[in-house]
Amino acid sequence: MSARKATDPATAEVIRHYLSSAATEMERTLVRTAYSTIIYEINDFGLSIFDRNLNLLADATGLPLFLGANEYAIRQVLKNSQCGPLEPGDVVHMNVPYWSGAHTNDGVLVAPVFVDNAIAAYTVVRAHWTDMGGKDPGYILDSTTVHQEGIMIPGEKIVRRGEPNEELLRIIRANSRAPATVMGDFNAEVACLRVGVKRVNELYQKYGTETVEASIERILSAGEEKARAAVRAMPNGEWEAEDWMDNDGVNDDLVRVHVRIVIEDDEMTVDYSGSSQKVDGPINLGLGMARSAARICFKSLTTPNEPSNGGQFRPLNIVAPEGSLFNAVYPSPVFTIWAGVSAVETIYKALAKAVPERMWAGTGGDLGDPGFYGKEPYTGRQVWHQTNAGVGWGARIDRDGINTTQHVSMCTVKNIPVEVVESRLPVMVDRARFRQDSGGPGRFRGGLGSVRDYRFLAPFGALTILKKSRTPGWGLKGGKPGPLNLSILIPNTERPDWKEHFERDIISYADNSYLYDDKPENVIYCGMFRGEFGPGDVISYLADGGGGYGDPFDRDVERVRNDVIDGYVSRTAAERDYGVVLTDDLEVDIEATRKKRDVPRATESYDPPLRKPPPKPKRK
Amino acid sequence: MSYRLAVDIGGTFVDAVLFDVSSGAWKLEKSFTTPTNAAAGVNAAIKRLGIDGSALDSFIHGTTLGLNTVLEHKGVVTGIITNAGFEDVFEMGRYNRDRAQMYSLEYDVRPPLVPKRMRLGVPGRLNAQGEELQPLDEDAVREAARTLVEKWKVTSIAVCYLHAYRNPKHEQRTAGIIRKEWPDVSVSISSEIVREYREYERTSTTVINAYIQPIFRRYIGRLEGGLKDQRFAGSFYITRSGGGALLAHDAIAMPVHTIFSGPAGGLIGAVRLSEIVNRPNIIAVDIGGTSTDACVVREGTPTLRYQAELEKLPLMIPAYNISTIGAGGGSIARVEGGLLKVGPQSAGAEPGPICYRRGGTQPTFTDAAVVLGYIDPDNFLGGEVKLDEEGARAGLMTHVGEPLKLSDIEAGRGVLDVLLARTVSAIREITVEEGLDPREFSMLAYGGAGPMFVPLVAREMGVREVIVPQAPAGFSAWGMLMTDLVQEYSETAVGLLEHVGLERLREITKRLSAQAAADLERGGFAPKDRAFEYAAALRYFGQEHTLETPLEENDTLESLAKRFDAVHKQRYGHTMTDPVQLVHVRVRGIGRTPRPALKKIPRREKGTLVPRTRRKAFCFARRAMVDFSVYDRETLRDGDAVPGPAIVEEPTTTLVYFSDQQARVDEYGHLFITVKA
Repeated sequence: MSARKATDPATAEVIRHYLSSAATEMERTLVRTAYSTIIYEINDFGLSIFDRNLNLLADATGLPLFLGANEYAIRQVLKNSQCGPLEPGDVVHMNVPYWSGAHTNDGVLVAPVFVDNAIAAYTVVRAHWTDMGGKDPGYILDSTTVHQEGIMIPGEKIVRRGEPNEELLRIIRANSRAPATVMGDFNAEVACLRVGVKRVNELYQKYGTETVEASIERILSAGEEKARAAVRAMPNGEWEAEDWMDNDGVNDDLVRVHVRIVIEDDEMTVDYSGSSQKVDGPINLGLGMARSAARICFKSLTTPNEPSNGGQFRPLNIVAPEGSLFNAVYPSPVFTIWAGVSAVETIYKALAKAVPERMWAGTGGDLGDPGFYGKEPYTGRQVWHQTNAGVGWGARIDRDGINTTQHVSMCTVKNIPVEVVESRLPVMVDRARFRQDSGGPGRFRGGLGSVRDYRFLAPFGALTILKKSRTPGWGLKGGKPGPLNLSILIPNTERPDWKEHFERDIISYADNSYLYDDKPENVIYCGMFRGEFGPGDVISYLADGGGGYGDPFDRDVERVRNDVIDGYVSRTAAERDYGVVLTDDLEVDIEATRKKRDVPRATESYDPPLRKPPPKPKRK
Repeated sequence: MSYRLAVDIGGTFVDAVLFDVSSGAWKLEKSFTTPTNAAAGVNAAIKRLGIDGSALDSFIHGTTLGLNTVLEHKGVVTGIITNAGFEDVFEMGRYNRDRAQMYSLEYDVRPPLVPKRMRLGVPGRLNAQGEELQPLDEDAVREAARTLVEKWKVTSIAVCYLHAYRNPKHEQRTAGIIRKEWPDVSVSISSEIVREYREYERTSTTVINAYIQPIFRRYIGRLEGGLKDQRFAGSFYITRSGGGALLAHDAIAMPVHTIFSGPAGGLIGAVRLSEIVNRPNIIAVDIGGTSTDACVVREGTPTLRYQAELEKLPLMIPAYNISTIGAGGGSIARVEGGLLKVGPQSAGAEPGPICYRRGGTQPTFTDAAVVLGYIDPDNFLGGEVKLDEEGARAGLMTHVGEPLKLSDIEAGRGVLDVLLARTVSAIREITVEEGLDPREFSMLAYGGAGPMFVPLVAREMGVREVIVPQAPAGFSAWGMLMTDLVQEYSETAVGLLEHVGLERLREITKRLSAQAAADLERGGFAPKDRAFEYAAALRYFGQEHTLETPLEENDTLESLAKRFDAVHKQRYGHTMTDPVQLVHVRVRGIGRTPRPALKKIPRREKGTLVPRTRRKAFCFARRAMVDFSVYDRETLRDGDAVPGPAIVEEPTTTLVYFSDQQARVDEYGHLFITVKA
């Protein structure tokens, strides 16, 4: 109670918002000075402010999947680093995946905030660095040990008392394919940490440590109470769901993701124990990110509209056995982080059984647009430009899903505008629009996914990290999933050696031709791929839509007709999926529609049987 | 004799301020907005000032017309013509969710402003260098336009092609084709509005422009006609969203640049006032008939927004960071689901509050203020309009009091309490949520309903002081008089400084300055009133975002690069060794206008201030009806202290503060309201 005396609700509220705005200012600094599109366009970063007891005070997460990942990481830095006591002006760099919950390219930088010669707080930023010397440029899709994934820095001072540690920077530069870009982004991050340190320091100076800490206690317990009340309002019980990843990048078998949710009074447990054990390829996930995935889902049901703080997550328990898919241990390969996407989808799927009226159906499953790597003609520098497809989101009990939005696990991420792609890469975009008929049919329709066609003008590298292209999403209450995610690789057949070129230069990690009877010849239908494409080659990426809600034959006829006029739904699909027959003038054929729709309705959705890839010898 | 006239038009009132350039005197006229013909209201206001149009040098105008058109979804039916294959860019956006909703399970699927069926693609393609890869298919353009106009009945078309910021030819040709075949259809092309890349943001800005353009053009045309009838032959300006003004002729083509022009005038006034009263940190609160606009002035500068946004659509225009809510004197009170709601619907000028006797039947904030005793029914607009107090009371009882089982006073108080909560939360957004403590600011109260409500807001938020300017109801118009003409010119020239070279840099600067000078000449500015600001948008090679770096007359490439290093270092704390790259050269041509001086009021030589009368009104400090002293503002003198509870009346507004507050009058007649010691 004595701590409470040092503050009042008004001051605590001002301090709470002050911290959030400090985080926002850090973010602006980072975005304005960064060198990589992955930071300034895509928002692939997360930054946070912690108090000296490592309570999360505020964050500006570029994307949801980074929610709380820094909290795990900073604990590991302070526990494991041997860089000696921190001093004012220091910045520590750590990128050991098992500590950061990410991969080597997502280093975590930590800067202490000193007030009266003692550490009062920390500012932390993680952002994607273009290259840390892993075996392949861009993204690493098929490593079998972490030692193929780049140089690891176990928490060393990259800035000492305000001065860059040139030795360490030289080592990083020597190991990176993109030293100039990495240095640009490093400086941007240091600038952002400095802003944070300055703002937080001002806060403590202004209000005094006692008042700030008393306010923090108020903020955290208010967050905790609110979250507990929200869990208490949900039913007690246990729910499970499973989902499948295409493969691990090394062996061509579906990989099981399984989640069990337990709600008991005011606590929730997310248990990953039923998921696959560790796998040979780089889809294993560090515990930090497995926790983040659970936190996103938890937050969206408890305190969705409030800035994050550590108190809000106290009622959440996470179980992931060491050495399993969701708690990777050395030296498991971990580069893709994509199991995090799948985890979010699966947790929501389980929660939809607990509180279907509050949930949406499946959200497209993945974000598979290609990323591009190589020497950018414009700067002559090694680059990694990731682009992420927009998927359709699931319909809800009372409305259609949203069209073409980033997957829910990374929903704040932006696409790279066509004009930026074409300004920086030897690539033309021939098409960027909705994928017709991709919304899962339902009384309320799932949102539509996107389509983009990229045509190469000169040789350049491209890949996707796509991990869900073989198994469908899910509808709710009789609603259906959309089609699958699909990468189509179309060689330039005017090139005489096109066959050799594709065989030699392109790896398709998940051949999906077994799923498509209507695949044209000479093109590849696949999930994840990587390769050096040549002039005239085309990558077409078709993103999945969201799942539908309720039986599609119950959808309002006029809405179906309007969907056809606009082109969200084709006339054929209107008839097949919705039982709505339209004339050539797109008027409703009332009689034919009535007949078509005269069938029993479904009240529950079902998971169609799995279609596993045909067995084939191991690639390596 | 020469005069400048500023007219600010809001949802309810038109404020006209006439400034006599030679004597520095100014006066305010206020009249009702005429929703069916806004221009007529403006012309009426000018007539009432009794000035001959030929005596006016310039006419400066700010309007919320464009903004309200978008907010109320009352724009024209708009279509899009874009590249084939890219028809959905406008609806897909950047694929991201609003950060504020990143964890939310709720979502609102709003139909896009331009439905999918009205977005058509045509063949024709440029690359990022602006080179033509595929010629524009003119027949396809004609066909698309025909479908939009004849089948879907659009009256305005936004044209946005990829890379048009580099080469506007396809867009210009498209506009030419449409204008020739359908001269009545408005055409907005992206390259004329924004010369920056990012197709979604540029499309969205162009669509907003197209959506309001016919309405805006008609409006300006009517105004011009009215001005001409009054023999006006001077320059006609419209205030811009981010400060300065545009020639009306230029504004017609790109009304999107004036979309936040209404509130901009008040902020220019706030900056001037902050200098005069030496208060660099101000929260400016403008409460009109329809809306409340709040903006923070820090160290004498209004805060700008990173990227403006309207109805979730990005706008690539500079704009002040204004928080707006639909809450004002005309906000309608009603009961919904057992809860008392006030606004955002406004009775506006027609039918207006019940007490205006213009046909209003729903009780508003103003009706509540009459019932609570703040407004003297016999002395509104200087006694010109006699308010219907009993009608206001009866309406308030029928719609609020009876359903909630409250007395008339309780109902009136409830209306103010609800508005108070909404207003406080809007102001928190731009203060507390930006890490600013409102207790460290002065609050400036203006707009017709500002002085009646802001002291209550300040009390609630713990703000230490409220400043009430002269003629607060016309403050925005007064601010517009301070506006300089600002025209911006830019040219994109991407390249390392060393590659572009000093000569080319100078040549571009010279060309842009000549253009600026010619336009200032055209605007009637003598050379001594012209000013030029030069800047280079620079970045380190490899960065994306640029920093505006001042460019000086005798700069060398080295001195410019050094200055950029310094700016970068100051802003972000570090420099890079990468070479410096030029992206744009910008020249700002400024036509300086004379500023009205503030007239001082006399000191009280003898005797003390005596209230004109007393009347019962509701005191929020005591939460009861008590006796308020009522003063005429014109009887106040420099140095007067006026304890609360008090009501200070002037013809166009009423100031109300409470028993725990007091006011002090300065030499200009400003009132400073503070908490009693």
